[in-house]
Amino acid sequence: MLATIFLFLAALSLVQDRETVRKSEAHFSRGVEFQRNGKLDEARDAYESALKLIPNRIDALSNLGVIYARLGQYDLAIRNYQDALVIEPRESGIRLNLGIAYFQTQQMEPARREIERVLMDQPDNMQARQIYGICLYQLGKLPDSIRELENVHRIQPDNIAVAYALGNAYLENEQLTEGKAMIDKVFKYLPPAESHLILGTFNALNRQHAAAIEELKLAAKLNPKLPTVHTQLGTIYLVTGNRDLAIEEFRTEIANHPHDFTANVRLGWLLRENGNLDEAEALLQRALEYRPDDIGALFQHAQLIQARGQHEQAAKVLERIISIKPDFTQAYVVLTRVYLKLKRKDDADRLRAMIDSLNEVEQKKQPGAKPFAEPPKAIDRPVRPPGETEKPPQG
Amino acid sequence: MKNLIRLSLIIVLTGIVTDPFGWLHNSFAGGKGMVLTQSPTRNNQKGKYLGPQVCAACHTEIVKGYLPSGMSKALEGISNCQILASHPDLKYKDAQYSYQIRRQGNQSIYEVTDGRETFSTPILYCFGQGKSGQTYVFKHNGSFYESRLSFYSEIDGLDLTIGYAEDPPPALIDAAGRKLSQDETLSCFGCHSTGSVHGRELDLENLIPGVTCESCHGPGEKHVASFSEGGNGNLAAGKMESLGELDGDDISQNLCGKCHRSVEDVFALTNTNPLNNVRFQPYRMFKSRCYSTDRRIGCTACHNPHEPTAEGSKIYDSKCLACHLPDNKTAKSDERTSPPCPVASQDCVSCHMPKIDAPQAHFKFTDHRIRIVRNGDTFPH
Repeated sequence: MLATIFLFLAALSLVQDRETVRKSEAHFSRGVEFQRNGKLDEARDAYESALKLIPNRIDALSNLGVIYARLGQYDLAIRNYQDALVIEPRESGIRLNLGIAYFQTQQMEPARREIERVLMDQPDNMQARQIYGICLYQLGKLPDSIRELENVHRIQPDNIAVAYALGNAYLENEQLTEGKAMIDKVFKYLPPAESHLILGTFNALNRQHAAAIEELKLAAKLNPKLPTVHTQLGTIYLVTGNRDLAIEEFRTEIANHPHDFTANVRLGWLLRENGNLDEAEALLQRALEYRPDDIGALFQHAQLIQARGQHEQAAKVLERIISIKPDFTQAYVVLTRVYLKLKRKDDADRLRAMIDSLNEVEQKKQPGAKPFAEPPKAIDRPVRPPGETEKPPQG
Repeated sequence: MKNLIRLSLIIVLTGIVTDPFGWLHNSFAGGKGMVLTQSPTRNNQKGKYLGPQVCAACHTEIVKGYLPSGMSKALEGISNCQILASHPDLKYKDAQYSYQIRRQGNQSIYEVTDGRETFSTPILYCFGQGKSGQTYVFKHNGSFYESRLSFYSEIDGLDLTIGYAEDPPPALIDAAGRKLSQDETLSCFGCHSTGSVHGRELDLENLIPGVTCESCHGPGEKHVASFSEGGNGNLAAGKMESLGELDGDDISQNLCGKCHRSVEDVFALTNTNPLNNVRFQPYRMFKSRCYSTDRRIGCTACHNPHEPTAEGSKIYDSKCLACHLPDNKTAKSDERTSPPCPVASQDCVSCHMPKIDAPQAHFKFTDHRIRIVRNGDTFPH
């Protein structure tokens, strides 16, 4: 009897296992289909469903990492790649993606480490070698960087990114002639729209806003759907005080590229400040789906919740922000006001003391602070002889 | 920094989309907490502003009491500008630049010359009541400019506008003033006038000079219509913005702070001289130990918004004593629980809210950071 039950359960378990595998496979296939069609959110959900059923699917972990990277959620991408590599450490493709994710988040040392391992297995992988060379350049290892980038450049003379990095490496290594020639070449071969985008970006970073707008407008005219071009235009309009145009540009970027994180956050911010809370909320929620721990997006969302009068929830988000970035003074300020609304005076006072010390540090950094940071001129306080106090009025 | 720029460009070139403007995250605040239906600086309701004269038909005494206040004179058109009318020939010299503001009939002409070229333009608006100072706005190439010089009552003449570098600028137009961005233009007119900003549009034709009733209470069109003969009698539709339900923090930061700079506004500034912060009262109040949501510490607890600011220090004593006990013999009550001052029972603000001479302002501002001030103390930012 017992043997029959055991056999029945074993058979049932086998059927269930097969069913699980079948379902997981179906989710995975849907994920691939969605990914091919550029439906990133749907692909993510499908891969996650596949992994819920079979958590150690290396293919789903890897693809999910790719999706997160494309959504700009690099932390999650890195985590998925790492999980996949725990299962199969020799999978060079995943390791290369991990290295790229580190590179994209400007973590050059881990990027270099991972790419170096890829190159041990695949010495002819030019994409890996290119990123490896750029990592070395960023890490200040100029001769090594130049050697690597020259090798790639020899094989891929039209690779603009390599030419640009190599040009800069030459310049920093004081090989001025080679450097100038290489930079000139970059602009010669760059497609016109991208070329204007790069020049515009460069001008914007140097605060030459008028020139930046001119370049970016040209880029947008040549290729209206060039990624980030409208976000960058919007940002320049925003910092130069033209919010209407900024809103317009961010809307255009989102229409072209709904996943543009920056456009979603900044448009959400502007609409929140204009009192359009519902639309702002949708944008900020979308941005937070892409980057759940982004301080800027979280802060905008916290202020939006506060504006709705939901102080408890706002406090939670703001506390989270501060736990991620303990020197974010503006979050302390808003949280202090939220605590006051919640009648948490002691907590508000505690934060105010922290704001004072953070503020002091910040003020000292300001260019204009120095001449006035000295002890103040006399404060008009009435001077009473030491020890003398005014008698309180009688009666 | 150069490395960062290069990396951004390399990342763009490698096809990896990134945000080269990461630095903007540093100025993310700027926002207000509670959203009032009516913004004192922007008309988001698209109603029509009628002006204080119309309000005075019913609220006669309030309007009469309010009109002499500084806020009601926060902006003057050039023809009504009392300071420029009474100072028909103002002059100033700064390095190679000579400045002159001369009255011509109902106009004032602002002239700057470096000896070779001269920039000359009529002043359009006078910002500020003149109690501390007055700054001028003119138009050049279709944009509004803020004058590099302001009038200061204390010196009875011109000097650099607060915040302007003392080094003379190389270009004549920069010596005349600073071009205002769209945001700045809207902010300036939004705070110094009534009904001139609708959403994001500047409506100078319907501008009412100064901060008047409808700045805080909202446009009066529907309100007046609901009372007028032939009106629909729908008083609810004509209800003005109710400010009585705002707590002290909302009053200070979300209402008055919209123009006088809330704490969020000040923290969003990236380059402010610390001592200049004394001019931003809601920010200073926030930093006071006794700051809370209690209306007794909001701006309107001490300043009746319908009257000119009360002068003198004794008049404010009763406001402090609304929370603080007058002496240690008086028993605490539900309302009054804060300890008595061990030093004095009058002239509270003379010690606890000292006057501070802000750089370039030619004016002593009352520091609204209420605190115990000891001689020789440094100014707390």
